[in-house]
Amino acid sequence: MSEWLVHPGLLLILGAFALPWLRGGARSVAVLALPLLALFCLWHLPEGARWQVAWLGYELAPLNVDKLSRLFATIFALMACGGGLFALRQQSRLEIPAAYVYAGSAIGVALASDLVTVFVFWELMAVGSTLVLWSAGTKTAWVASRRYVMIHLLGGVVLFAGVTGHLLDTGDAAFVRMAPDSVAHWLILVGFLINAGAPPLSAWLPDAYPEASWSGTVFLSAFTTKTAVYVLLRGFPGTEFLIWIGLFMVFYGIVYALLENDMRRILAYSIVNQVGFMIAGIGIGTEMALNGAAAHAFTHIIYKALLLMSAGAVLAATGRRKCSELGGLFHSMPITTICGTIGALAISSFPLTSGFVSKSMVTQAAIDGHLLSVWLALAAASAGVFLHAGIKFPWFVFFQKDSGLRPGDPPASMRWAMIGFAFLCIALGVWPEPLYRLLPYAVDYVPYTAAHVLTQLQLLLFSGLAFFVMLPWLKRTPTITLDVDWLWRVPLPALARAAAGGFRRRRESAAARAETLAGRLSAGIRRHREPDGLLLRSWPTGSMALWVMTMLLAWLLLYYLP
Amino acid sequence: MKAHAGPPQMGAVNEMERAQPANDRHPLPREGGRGDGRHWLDEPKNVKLLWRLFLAVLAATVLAELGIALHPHFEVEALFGLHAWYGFLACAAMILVAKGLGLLLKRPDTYYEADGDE
Repeated sequence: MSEWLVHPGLLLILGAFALPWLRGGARSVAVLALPLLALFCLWHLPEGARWQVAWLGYELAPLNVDKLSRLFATIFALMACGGGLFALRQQSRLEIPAAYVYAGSAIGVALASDLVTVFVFWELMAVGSTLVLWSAGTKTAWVASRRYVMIHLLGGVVLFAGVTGHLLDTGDAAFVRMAPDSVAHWLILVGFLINAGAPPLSAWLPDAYPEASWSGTVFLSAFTTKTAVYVLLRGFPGTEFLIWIGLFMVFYGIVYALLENDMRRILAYSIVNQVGFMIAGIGIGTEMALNGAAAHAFTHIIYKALLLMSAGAVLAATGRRKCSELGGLFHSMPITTICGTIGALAISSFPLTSGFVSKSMVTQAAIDGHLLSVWLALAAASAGVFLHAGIKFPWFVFFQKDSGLRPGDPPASMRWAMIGFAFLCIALGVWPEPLYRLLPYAVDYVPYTAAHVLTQLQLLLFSGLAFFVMLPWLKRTPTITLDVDWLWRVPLPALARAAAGGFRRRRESAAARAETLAGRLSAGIRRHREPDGLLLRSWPTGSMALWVMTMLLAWLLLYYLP
Repeated sequence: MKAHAGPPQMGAVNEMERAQPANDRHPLPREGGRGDGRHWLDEPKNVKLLWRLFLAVLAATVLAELGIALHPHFEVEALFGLHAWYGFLACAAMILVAKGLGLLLKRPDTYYEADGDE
C-alpha cells in the first residue's frame, strides 16, 4: 500500500475520496495538506522509472520522473493547493474532491511515460473536470457540462484510436517523441490538440469554463489545457505547423475576448490565447522555445488562477458576471483589485512579473531562429494580451463607471489564496532563477536587459494608449459573440431532430408496406395449402398411373432417338 | 477617463443570474463594505494628472531609445520607436477586426436561452 501512495497523483485522487467524510477544521486541514503531501512525495521521488508493469505484452511505466514531468507535476500540485484554499468556503461538497481527482489525474499524465497510462489519466481528467462543472448546480452549468463532456469524449475516442494504432504499428507503449507521419500519430496529435483548445473545436473552453462556480473556474483553468501542452511538449516538439496553430489561437483569443462582456469568459478566451503562445513555442522546437513553453505554462497557471480568483471573488460578492453591470469595485474591494491587477500585469508580461521571464523566451526563440513573421506576430499578440486581459479585465470590472456596488473584500481563505498567488507572480518575475533551474533544458537566457525591458514597456504602454484612445469602440454591450460552439448548439441539434423526424416517418411507411406484403404472402400461402388448394388437393389414382405411363413412354422414345 | 466623471449607474440585476453565495451560514459581505466615501481616483483632477503622467511615461520610453542600444536582430527593429508604434497599430488593427467580426457574429446574450437550448 505504501508503495502505491508514493505516486503523488494517486495520493491526491485517493485522498479526494476521503474528503467528503470530513467536516469542519479536519476537512480544511486535509484540503490544504493533501496537495502539499503530494508535492512532498513528488520531490522525494528520484529521477527515472519507478514502476514497471507488464500489460497485454506491453511494458508500462506509470511512474517515471524527469525534469519536464516534475515541473508540470509541481505546478499542478501547487495549483491544487492554492485552488483548495480559495475554495474552502465553497458550499458544494463535491467540488473540491472532484477538483482533486482532476488535479491528481493531471499529475498522473505528467508522471506517466507510456501512452496507455496517459490515456487512462486523460479520461479521468475529463470525468473530474465535468464533476467540477456539475457541482456549480445551475442549469446553465448542467447543459454546458453536457456539451463539454461530449467534446472531451470525442477527443478521448480520437486519442484512443491513435494510441491503439501506435501500439499496433510499433509494438511499444512508451511515450516517446513522435512526428505526424502516420495515421495513428495524427490521431494522437489531434486528440492532444482538442484538449489544448486548438481550432476548430476551441469553443468548448470559453463555452464551459465560465459556467462553473466562483471557485470551480479557478480549478478548470489550470489542468486540461496545460496537460495538453505537456504532452505536446513531450510528444511533438518541433512540429512546424504547431507554430501556425499557436498563432491562430493567440489572435482568436484576443479578438473574441475584446468582444466579450462576461468577465470570466474574457479570461477563458485569454486561456486559449496564452496556450497559443506555448503551442507556437512547441512548434518552433528549439531548446529555448521548449523551455519558454514549459516556463510559460508554469507561470500562466499561477497568474490565470489569480485572475480567475479575483473574478470569482467579485462573482461571489455581487452575483454579477457581466462587465456592463460591474465597475467601480476598487472602492470597496482594494485587495481583490490589487491582486487582480497583479495577475493582469503578469499575463501581459510586464517587467518584474512572472509572465515577463517566461513568455520572452518564446519570442527570443523566434528571433534566434530568424523567423521574422513569427516574431512580428508574437509581438503584436503580446500587445494584444495587454489590451484584452491586462487592461480590459481590471478596467471594466474594478474601475470604469461606478456601478454603485460596494461589496467588501472576500473572507480570509479567499484573500490569502489571492495574496499567495500574487506574491508568486511577483517573486518569479523578480527572481526567475528557481524556475529556470526546473526547466527541462539548461537556460542560457537573461530576461532583464535594458533593451528588452525598454522595448517591452514601449509595446505594452502604447497598447494601453490604444485601449484608452479607442475606449468608445470597446464599450461593453449585453451581447455574446457566436463561436464554433454555435454549430453543435443550433444547426446540429436541429439537423438531428429533423433526421429523427424523417427517420420516424420513413419507418412508419416502411412498416405499412411490410404489412401489406406480409398480408399478400400469407393469403397466397393459405390459398395453396387450403384443404382444396393446389398442394393439398387429393388426386385420383388413375390420373397418377396415366402420368407415369406418359413419362415412361417419353423416356423410351428418347432412348431410341439417335 | 470619462467613465469616472459620469454619475453612478446601477446596472439591472437579474435575480436569476445571481450565482450562489459562498456559504449560507457564512455569507460573504455584500454591501456596506469599506470605501463608501469618495476615493482620490474619483476626483477628475487626479484622473487628469494620471493621464498627464501616463503620456509623460510614454514619451520617456520612446526617448530612452536614444540612450539605450537595442541590439536589433531584424532590420525592422532598427526603425525608431518600432515597438511603440507597432504596438499601437497592432492593437488598433485588432480592435478594428474585432469590431468587424462583431458586426457579423454579435447576438443578444439571451440568444441561446431563447432557443430553449436542450
